[in-house]
Amino acid sequence: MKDRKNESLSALCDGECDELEVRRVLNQFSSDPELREQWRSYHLLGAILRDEVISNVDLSEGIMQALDGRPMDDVPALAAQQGLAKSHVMSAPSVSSSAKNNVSQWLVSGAVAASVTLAVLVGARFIHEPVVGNGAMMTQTSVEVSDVMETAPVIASNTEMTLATAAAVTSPEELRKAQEVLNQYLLEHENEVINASEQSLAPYVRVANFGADNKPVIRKD
Amino acid sequence: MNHPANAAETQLTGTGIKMTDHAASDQQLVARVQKGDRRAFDLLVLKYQHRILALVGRFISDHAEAQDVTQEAFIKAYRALPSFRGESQFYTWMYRIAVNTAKNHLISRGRKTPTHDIDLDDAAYFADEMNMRDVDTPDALLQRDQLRAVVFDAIEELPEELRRAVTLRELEGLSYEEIADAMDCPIGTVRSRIFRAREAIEKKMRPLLSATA
Repeated sequence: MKDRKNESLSALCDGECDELEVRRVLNQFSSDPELREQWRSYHLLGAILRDEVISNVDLSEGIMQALDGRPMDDVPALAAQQGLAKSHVMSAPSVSSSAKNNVSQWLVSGAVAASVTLAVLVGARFIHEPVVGNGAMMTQTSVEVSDVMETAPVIASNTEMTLATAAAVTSPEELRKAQEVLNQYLLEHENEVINASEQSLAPYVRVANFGADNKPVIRKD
Repeated sequence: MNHPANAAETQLTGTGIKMTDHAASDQQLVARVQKGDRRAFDLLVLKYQHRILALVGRFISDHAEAQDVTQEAFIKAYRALPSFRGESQFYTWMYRIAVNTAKNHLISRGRKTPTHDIDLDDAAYFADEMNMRDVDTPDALLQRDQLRAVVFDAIEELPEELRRAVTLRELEGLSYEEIADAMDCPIGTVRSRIFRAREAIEKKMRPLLSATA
């Protein structure tokens, strides 16, 4: 397995990998730091064979750390630098195309953010809709609630903030009343759930009975 | 200056075999960086840092300063990569950025820039010249010489088919397909032979490399 990984790395050194293999090798880099050293060694030995410059300096870690948190498309700064030594510049990267990239990337980011917000709002609305008399629907709603809660922590934290604020400004008497109302609400909610479950089972019971002997069964209590 | 590795970009060997493009690997990695994969850029840095450092060292004699400028050049290259269209090879493009960064560094410090540019082909191959050797410590020089000796000894010890495959690749710059033709074997065998040769050499290099680290 390791040999296969290293053989792919060796092939990547020579530009003899297809795109999928390149991706696979790069993915393995995260989990296997030894591959990075392997890559370095393969290039080092090539450089020695070709009598190129070699050095024991490794700048890569510093460079990658410096890149952390930096955008990849800040080309105007580079163009400004290149402008200083214009007479020596053979060709400069196109600034206008980069500016277009900036705008399009900004638009794409905005669209993604808007989609996420819309999804959260729709999810929140769906949670607050009353559930009427269908067990299957009730179950589905419960699933939706847990998914949204997992993916929309902002809503949950807002709710907590509101409750905390309310607790801070009300008296103990008001809190006791609020607790009673809440308990009452929970009891009603539980009854609703039980009723809904019974209603949803009833049609199946009837169909099953009709199927057995083509007559409705009347229970005598 | 005509070095075998440079010939990879220029074309033919004495046998008339077409040389492979050394930049194929770079193109693949650049494409990955442009898709947002930063690990691919790390590999490009590991591959070219010594060449670029040597190049910058020709403009800036202070080694620590040269390292800072090299680092800055790579950061600029990364930030500019979205606009790199692949019309030139990555190293050529990187070379220009490094030269401009070094010159701008000199200008910003009120120093004179060289009146002539360094030839792109020469830039990577001047191991015997002054700049890099002068700034390395005697220990580093010794390690480097030992490393060279180890690599060449390891090459000598390789079985003939491995040695031939790896030298055709590293020195002649042939593609796997061309090596397969030259050695009259399948491409998969070439791939495996080159890998095994590298592994064998790397195994001998490792003690020295870990001592350096």
